[in-house]
Amino acid sequence: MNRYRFVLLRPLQLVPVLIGISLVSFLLIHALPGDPVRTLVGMRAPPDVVERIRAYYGLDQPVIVQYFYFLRSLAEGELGRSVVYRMPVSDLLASRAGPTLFLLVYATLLGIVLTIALSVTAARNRGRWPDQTIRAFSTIGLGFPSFWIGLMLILVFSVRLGLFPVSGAGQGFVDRLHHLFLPAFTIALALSAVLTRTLRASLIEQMDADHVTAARSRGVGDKDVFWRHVVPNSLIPTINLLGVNLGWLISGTVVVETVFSVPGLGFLMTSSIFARDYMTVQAITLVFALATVLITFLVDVVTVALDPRVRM
Amino acid sequence: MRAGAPRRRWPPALKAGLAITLAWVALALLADVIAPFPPNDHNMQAILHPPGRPHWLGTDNFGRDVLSRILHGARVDLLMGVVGVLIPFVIGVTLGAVAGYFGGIVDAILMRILDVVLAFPWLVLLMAIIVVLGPGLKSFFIALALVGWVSYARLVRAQVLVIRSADYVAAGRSLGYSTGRILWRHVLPNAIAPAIVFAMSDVVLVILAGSAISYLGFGVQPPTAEWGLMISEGQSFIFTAWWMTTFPGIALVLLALGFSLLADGLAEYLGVRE
Repeated sequence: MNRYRFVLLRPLQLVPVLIGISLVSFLLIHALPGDPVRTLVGMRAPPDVVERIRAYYGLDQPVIVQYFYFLRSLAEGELGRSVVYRMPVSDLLASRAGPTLFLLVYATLLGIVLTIALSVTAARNRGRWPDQTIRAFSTIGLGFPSFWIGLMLILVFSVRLGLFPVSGAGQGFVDRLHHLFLPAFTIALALSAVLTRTLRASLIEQMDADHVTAARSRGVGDKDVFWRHVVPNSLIPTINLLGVNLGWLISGTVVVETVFSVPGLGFLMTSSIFARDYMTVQAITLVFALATVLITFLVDVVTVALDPRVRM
Repeated sequence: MRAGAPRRRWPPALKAGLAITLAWVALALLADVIAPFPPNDHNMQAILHPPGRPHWLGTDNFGRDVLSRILHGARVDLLMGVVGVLIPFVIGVTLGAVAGYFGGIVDAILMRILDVVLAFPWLVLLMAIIVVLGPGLKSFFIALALVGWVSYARLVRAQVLVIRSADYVAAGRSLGYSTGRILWRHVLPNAIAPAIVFAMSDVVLVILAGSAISYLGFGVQPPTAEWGLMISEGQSFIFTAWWMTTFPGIALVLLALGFSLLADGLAEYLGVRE
């Protein structure tokens, strides 16, 4: 298949996934405990009012018809109302998306820097103690509970050393970098444990590859060989793994935002569960799923655009 | 993934992983005998007692012994990991084998469901389901059964797709073996290795998810001793009693390390490449 057709066909493959996501979200709302109308008007409202409201929201219709109502309101960007914040859920989510996006990008960048530093050190000292230490880190790091690592970082860097604030997201770019450093570092640590294994392995594989030997025999210096031939060719599997792990990264953000009280979507989700603000919880679930699918799609398209060998 | 000939010798990672895991199982089983104090006994004379005699890992804000609670917590966290992987493993392997072997419409539907489940961030979907079911360990297991099987189904299906056209399967058919016998006794045993290796690393993911959900307040409920819950209870005292959060976390890392090594070692032993 040529790659222009791929770019055109790939969005079509998204359609069943998007339908599935909307169906799961609808079922999650539909299966919620309690009667939504009673939640809205209270237990003492007269029965005819309850019936009128039920009919107004289409809740007296068959489930399948309700699903189409749900789809229509989704298309209009209507996600329901938050019973806690007394505002449309869509507005609430928009006001909280900033810190989450910032944290995700920050954590990913820190994670990449950490991964490259660790993998390069390990690959260049293959079999010696720096390599052994880094490999041990990547095995132990897979089992790091992010919420605990976050608390340990607070214990050392905030309580003992007083270097970073314990909570919040900060105002302005520099302040935000400072406030979100520990949360981002917590996620980056776990991320680099996952990615370092892959990058170290592919660096070592590339160091023995024919094109590297060829470059050496042409008299290219060691440094140039490593940074211009070995590293760029090793990055593709790592970038793919990063794309695959996007959902995992978002899950980590939910937990870490809660540990550090970062006013983003993840913290909103956990606090809304406690407040029984179900519409908000399900809307965030939906938004996270849509974001995951769309970003994965974009990564796919970019990979194909960059690497003509990938033709799926 | 590629399955090769199994090697005879046990890799060091497998031995180390097995040793750590079995040590935790022993500690959990013997918790009643070796824990110096009952896990839920309040002691108003020893509130926030720092680590030392007779509370080697200190006490919490109710004077409960942290070491004893960690030992008893091992039962809950091990149970979470084992049950939380076993149910999805059985469901996923069965569905994956059937879909891969028969193909057609069943396979197509299964793959679409798989795509949808994988589209959701894992922990977020688990939490959204637990919201519907109400907090607790049982909800956690049900949510995992609904969500966790997809990875196993995908792994086994991919193997079965290759194996179903193998010569020995054709031989079985020509001998008149029933489809069930071919599938369960000949195809599945050769297709299951990657799923078993993944199950070991999945234990790590499930224990981390379960403790995170308990830490957030939607999993195991107080006063049960569970490591994630203990960490969350210690968070309010992080300025005065560091041991309340530090030690349960170390326990989590050590248990997870055991299963990570087990996964690495088993992958090497069974010749499975991820």
